[in-house]
Parts: sequence; C-alpha cells; structure tokens
Amino acid sequence: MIFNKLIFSSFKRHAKVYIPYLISNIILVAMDYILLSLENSNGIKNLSSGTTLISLLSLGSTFVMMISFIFMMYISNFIRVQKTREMGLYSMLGMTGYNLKKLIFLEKLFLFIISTILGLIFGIVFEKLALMITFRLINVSISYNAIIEPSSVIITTCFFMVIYLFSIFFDFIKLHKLNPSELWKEQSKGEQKNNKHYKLNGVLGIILLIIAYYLALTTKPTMTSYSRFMLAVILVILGTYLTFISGSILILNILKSRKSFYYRPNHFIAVSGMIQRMKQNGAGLATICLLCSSVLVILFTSISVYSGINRIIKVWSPTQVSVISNRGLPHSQKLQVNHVVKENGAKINNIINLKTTTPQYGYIKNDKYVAQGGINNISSSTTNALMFVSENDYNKIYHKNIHLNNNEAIMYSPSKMKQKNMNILNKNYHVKQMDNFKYSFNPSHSIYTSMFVVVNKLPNSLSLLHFYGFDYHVKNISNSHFEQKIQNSLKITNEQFTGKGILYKMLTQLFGGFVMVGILVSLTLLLTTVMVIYFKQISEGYSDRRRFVTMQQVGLSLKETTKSIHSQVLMVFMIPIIAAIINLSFAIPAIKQVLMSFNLYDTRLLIIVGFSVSSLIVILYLCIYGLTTRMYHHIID
Amino acid sequence: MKLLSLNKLAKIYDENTKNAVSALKNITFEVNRGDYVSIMGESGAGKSTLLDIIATLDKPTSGQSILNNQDLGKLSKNDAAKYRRKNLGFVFQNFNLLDSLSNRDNIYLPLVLNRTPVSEMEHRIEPLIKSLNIEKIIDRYPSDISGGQQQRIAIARALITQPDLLLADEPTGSLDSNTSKQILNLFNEENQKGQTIIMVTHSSATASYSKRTLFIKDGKIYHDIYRGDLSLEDYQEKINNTMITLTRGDY
Ligand SMILES: Nc1ncnc2c1ncn2[C@@H]1O[C@H](COP(=O)(O)OP(=O)(O)O)[C@@H](O)[C@H]1O
Ligand SMILES: [Mg+2]
Repeated sequence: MIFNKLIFSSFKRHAKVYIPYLISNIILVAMDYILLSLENSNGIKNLSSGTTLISLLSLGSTFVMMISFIFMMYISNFIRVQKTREMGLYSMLGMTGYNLKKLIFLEKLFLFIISTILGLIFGIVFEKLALMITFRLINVSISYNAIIEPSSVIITTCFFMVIYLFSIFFDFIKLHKLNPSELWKEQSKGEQKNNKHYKLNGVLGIILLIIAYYLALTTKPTMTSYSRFMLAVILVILGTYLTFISGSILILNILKSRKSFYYRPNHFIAVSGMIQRMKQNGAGLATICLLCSSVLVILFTSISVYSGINRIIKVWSPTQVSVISNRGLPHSQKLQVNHVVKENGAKINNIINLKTTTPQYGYIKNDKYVAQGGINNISSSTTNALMFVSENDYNKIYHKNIHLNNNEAIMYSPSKMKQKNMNILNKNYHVKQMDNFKYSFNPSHSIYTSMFVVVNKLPNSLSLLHFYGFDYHVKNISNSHFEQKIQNSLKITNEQFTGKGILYKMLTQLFGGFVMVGILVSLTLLLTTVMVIYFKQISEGYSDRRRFVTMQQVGLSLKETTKSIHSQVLMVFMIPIIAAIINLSFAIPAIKQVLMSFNLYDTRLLIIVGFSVSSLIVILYLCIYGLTTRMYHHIID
Repeated sequence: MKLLSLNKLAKIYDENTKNAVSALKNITFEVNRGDYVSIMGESGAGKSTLLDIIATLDKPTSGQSILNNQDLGKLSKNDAAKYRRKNLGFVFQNFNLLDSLSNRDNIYLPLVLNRTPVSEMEHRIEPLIKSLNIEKIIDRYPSDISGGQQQRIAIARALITQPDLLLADEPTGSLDSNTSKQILNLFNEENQKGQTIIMVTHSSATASYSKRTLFIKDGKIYHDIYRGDLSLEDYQEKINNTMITLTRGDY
C-alpha cells in the first residue's frame, strides 16, 4: 500500500516529466501497432503491388521500432536522473535495496500497462484512418475487414515488454552502483569532467561530416550508389554526434581562449553559457538534428517520387500502349488487338512502328561510350542503354529528309549530353545532340537512361528490337482494364508490354505506399523530436533558474539577463534545424541522382518540394519552440 | 564621513492585499566610510529585506536609502543594475557562483559587465588571489571546490570592483565553524584596509567580528551597539546579553 502511495505521489510531483512520457509512450505503441497491422492487412496484400508495399511497410515498422527502442531508453534515462535524489532519500530513510527495486518494478509495471492498453486502443482506432488515407493515396477503393489484428497486438505488446525490461534492468544497475550519499550528489555533479577528448573527437566529427558530404555529392546512380549512400548516412550520424558533443565545445573553447573577444559582456555570458549548454545537451541536440534531417529527407524523397509519377510514365513509353518484341508483332497478333479494340468500342490513333537495335548497356567515359552488352552484362558502373535508330525511321517520324554520312550521328538522351565527337562501339562519330526524341522509350523499364543514336544504317552486328505502340480512347471500361485485355490477348509478359493505365495504377500504389510509410515514419520522428526538445527545455529551465538569480545579483539587469538567456536558448535551439537543412542540402544531390535515373527528376519540382518541406518543418519547429519555451518560463518563474 | 544613510525606510510586501507583510518599519541609521556593521536578528526579522533594499535588489515602500548622495530608490531597474555592479559588492550565504564560469571568470564577471579592459582585470585580480589565498583553485570550476573555497571566490568577485560598500547576507551560514572563522578574518583584514562592510547574521559569534551591531526585530531597529575596545569574546557576550533582553521583550 505504502508503495502505491509513494509511486503516485512521485507521479504527481514529476507530472511535468511523466505526462509527456506517457503521451509519447502511448503514441509509439500506437505507431508500432499501425505499421505492423498495415503490414498484415489483407487489403494491401491483395493489391497488385502488394508485396512491394508490404516490404516497404515492414521496413517502416522496423525503423519505427528501432526509434521506439532508442527513444524509450533516452526518456527513461532522463527520468532515472531526475529521480536519483528521491531514491537517495528513500534509501537514507531506511528502504532496502529490495524495497527500492520493488518500487521501481511496480512503477514501471504500472506505466507499461497503462501505456500499452491506451496505445493499442489508439492504434486500433487510427489504423483504420491510416488505411483509408493509404487507399486514398494509392487510388483504390477497398473494403477492409479485420478490426483487430491479433498478431500485431501480441508483437507490439511483447516488444514494449522487452523495452521495459531493459529500462528496469538499467534502473537496477544504477541502484547497485550508487550508495545513498552518492545518490544525493548525482544531480549536482558538475559536467566539467570526461571532456578531455573533445579536441580529438571534435576534429574527427568534422572530418567525418566532410567525408560524408563528399560521398553524398559524388554519388552516381549506379548499383553501388546505395551502399555508398548508406555509408554517407552512417558517417553523418557519427559525425553529427561527435561534432555536436565535442566540435562545438572545441570551437567555443577557441573563442574563449581569445581574451579580447571573450571578455566582452555579450560574448562572455553567451560563450560560457553555450559551452555549458552544449556539454549538457550536445547529444540531445545531435539527436534533434538527426531526427529533423531524417524527417526532411524522407518527406522530400517520398513527395518528390509521388509527384514524379507522370514523368516516369512519359519516359517509359511514348504511347499509351506499347509492345516491344524481337521480331515485330505478327499479323495474327495485330488482328487480335484489333478484335479487342472493336469489342470494347475503342478508338485508336497515333500508331507507331519503330525499329532499333537491341539496347547496349554501358557507360560514358569522356567521349567514349563503353558498351558492356545486353542486360545480363551490366555492372555497378552501368548508367545507360544505347539504341541505334536508322535515318530512314528518323525521317519517317519527323517527316524530314536527312542524309547522314558514315561518320555522322544524331543523339538523344534524357540526361542531356554535350559531346560533339563520340566513339560508339569502336566507331568515331561527329554527333549532333537532339533536345527531344518523340518516340523515346525505356526498353526494360530499368534505371538506365535510354540513349538513341540515329545513324545512316543500323550496324549489322546487333540484333533488332521492334517497338509497336498506339494511343486510344475507351468509354465503357477503364483504361487499365482495357490494357489488361490487350495484354491478355497477346499473351506477353510485363517486360514486353507497357500500358500507361496499368503503369499509372501500379506506380500510384507503390509510390503512394511509399508516401504513406514516409508520413508515418516522419510522424514518429517528429513526435520523438518534440519530446526530446521538451525534455531538453525542462532540464535547461531547472538549471537556468539559479543562473538567472545570480546574474541579477551581480549586476545584470533583468532585461539584460532575460535577453542573454533567451538568445542563448534560441541559438542553441536553432543549431539543430540549421544543421538538418545543411544535411538535406547535401543529401539532395544524391537523391537527385537517384531520381534522375528513374526520370523522376525535375529541378523546379525538386526546389518546390525541398523548399516547402523545409519551411513546413521550420514552422513546426518554431511552434514547438514557442510552446516548450512557455514551459521553460513556467519553470523559471 | 557619511557613506550610507537610511531615512524612515519601510517595506510592505504584497501591499493592499490580504497577505500584506510589513517587513521593515521606520528604519533610520547611518553608516560611515570604513565602518563594519553587523545586523543581528532572528529568522524572519527583516534582515535580508533590509540588505536587499540597500543592495538595490528591491525597492522600499517608503523612505530613502542614500549612498554617496545617490537616492537608491530613485534609480530605474536598469540603472540600479549598473549602479550595483559599479559600486556594490555582494557575498551570499550560498555563494551564488555561476557554474558555467571558471572561478577566475566568476571573479571577472562584474568587471566584464563594466567593460573593463583585460589588462586592468588581470592587474586587479593579482592582490586578491594573494590575500584570499585562492591561487590553487583559481582556474578550476565552482563545482570542483569546497564551500569555504567557493565563498572566497565570491568574496573576490565582490571586492574586485573596489566597491564603496560590501554587503554580506549570512556569509558563513553554509560553512563549518573553522571555515567561518577564516572567512570572517578575511572580512576584518579587508575592513582594516578601509573597506566598508555591512553584514547580516543571526549568530552572535559571527556578529562579534564587526565593529558595530544593529539589532532588528519585527522590522524595527531596537539597539545599536559599538564594540569599542572590547575583545572578540567580550563583544560576543555583550551581543548575547542584548539579544536576550530583546527576545525577552523587556525594553
Ligand atoms: N518576497 C516576499 N514576499 C512576501 N513576504 C516576504 C518576502 N520576502 C520576505 N518576506 C517576509 O518578510 C519578513 C522578513 O523576511 P526576511 O527579510 O527574509 O527575514 P530574515 O532575513 O531576517 O530572516 C518575513 O516575515 C518574510 O516572510
Ligand atoms: Mg535572510
């Protein structure tokens, strides 16, 4: 009984910490549940791109679980430090280690039960909403049946049980390590220690960041780019932590050692205050920065991808329906197509027949196209798929009458090139670059950029590829349905057949799912960011309260004190978001390369998305700042 | 020579409310340059209130406190802050050092606020380091040193501005008796060099180090005694006797 009383009085006393703790715990449980049950939802499983979506969702849920774990550890450590004194007091009053452990265990048990039950309830309610939004985004209407997803309930509960066991374990370790008098001292311990290595760490952090930025800037859209980008991400994480924890102190200490700079009223208070803040909050600020960076990158990428769907469709095929074959469509199959067209009352226009050589995969090195062969011979350096077009076809398409010499060529590639001379398949050409090629298509729907080279005669050594396509109008049935019928009648695979209606549907589902996962993950990240900021402000508030009083006694006016502390808080507060935007701007070139290879890239769009995502986050961030600052003032007064 | 004069000073907290507290009533006394005055009284007597008003940390409800012909009550809050850091030095019971600053920087703090050149600051700190015996701890941080050492740093911070008046509120309140003696001896040395000091305390042992003692009770001054040629012990006894008459209430 006495234990319950102690626990509840402690909840009351530390309400400023426990309420946000519970809120974020509940939201994290709900988020985990939502992602897990979306992953298991039949509605999504039955979609045509269901498997891809589900693997995306499972990636998202793994990520959110990771965040949950780290964040719960962070926040319970915060509570542990806050309550050290209280534990010390109980122990001095004669509680045994067993009593204290029981107290901790009961408290955690209570928190676990409350937050898991409420979290699951919220999760179940909001999962329906998430599913609805997902289906809206991926443009399908599906009814869903399962109300509660039992396996997700069990996994979520077990997962948080493990988290709680860990935090109880750490609580116990902490109890063992300290005797009562040390328990008392813990809170007032100075932070001047363990900073001997800040010079080395600070320099290392900055170097890591520079390497990471260099990697990101020089990323090329090849198969190795993924691992390279991941390496950059890891380096950014390490670098950010080291820089925030040690680099900032290094810089501030350099400023401090310059007496003529340091011993001026504003600099003096700001620099010394900042050193202390960075020592206490370096890790917290780095966390905030990385969380903001991830939100920015995730939102930026998923929104860019989603809004680039129409572009990718345009690049993959010039006509609504297209068929690629090695020998051209036989007459019988063309009749089949006509049959389906008639049956559905469709009107056909803009029929295209184009003959090219089979694509030669390879890459460009200065003025040479290094061909590696067919799709089976690609390597990590492959960037392009080159196809020859005869001048005859070219003249037909453009209603022109051009005659090319043996060593002349006209070239087109969506990633604009500037070469005037080019060695292609061991032959030198004077090339003229085209801005546009009406019938540009992507033969294997790959990330490799198509290149079309118009020459007077197709090289004999290469086999041919026949492109057949047309546009149409149907009224009675949907475009994708109509296209499906044509594909079925031709009995050909997805590699050979492209229908824009089908493609659109598939990509919307895929990228819509991508956006949805992006939003859910970003929401989780934002929540954790808010909470980290909140706890930072609270702890600063407590330590600033004393500083405030002393500064006034020594002769700083109230106005000066408030101003100086405010500008410090604001400065320290703005560093993470500014660093996050810097991170984003270094990530953009790498993202751009990847988007470009999928033909999703559009400078204007990229700028608009980047700008709006950044401003959204900055505005949100300032709102959080405003709200938590009120809390801070509450503590100070 | 007159340095500070208080004239019918009164302070009412939360005036015009139900909870109004009359903390000081009609306080009048003068302090001369070179004096060492202790203000004695029990907890809640109004000692800190009185010191805060002299220190410009608070304003009187009525009456004046005049330091060097400057009516402190007439200063705006900002001017008071500037006046404070130029002309007054403080020592508090709980030291009030900034833990973000090294001990040296804590001492420099008021000078930096006054935009004193670095060379001048370095020049001024030298004698203080010697007389306060803080050579070994000067470049450490407040959280790394003992209470007595922290109080020495606080005294150095108070003295480095070469203030007209040094104010101390229970300066030995958090220290053990040995350390307290050391600190009080430091005060005496400074006073011998000409420093005017006003010190608030509830302990007769502490007050006995001063040259003059004012007794305050319920916001009023009841006695004003001088040490003259008395020894430390005799003066303490005199203070004790006065205190007893005061608490008995037979005046
Ligand atoms: N800020 C305040 N608001 C209201 N009453 C106060 C305030 N500060 C002090 N008091 C009251 O004024 C009286 C004198 O307090 P104080 O000067 O602190 O006494 P001392 O320092 O002698 O112990 C006490 O009754 C105290 O409760
Ligand atoms: Mg007092």
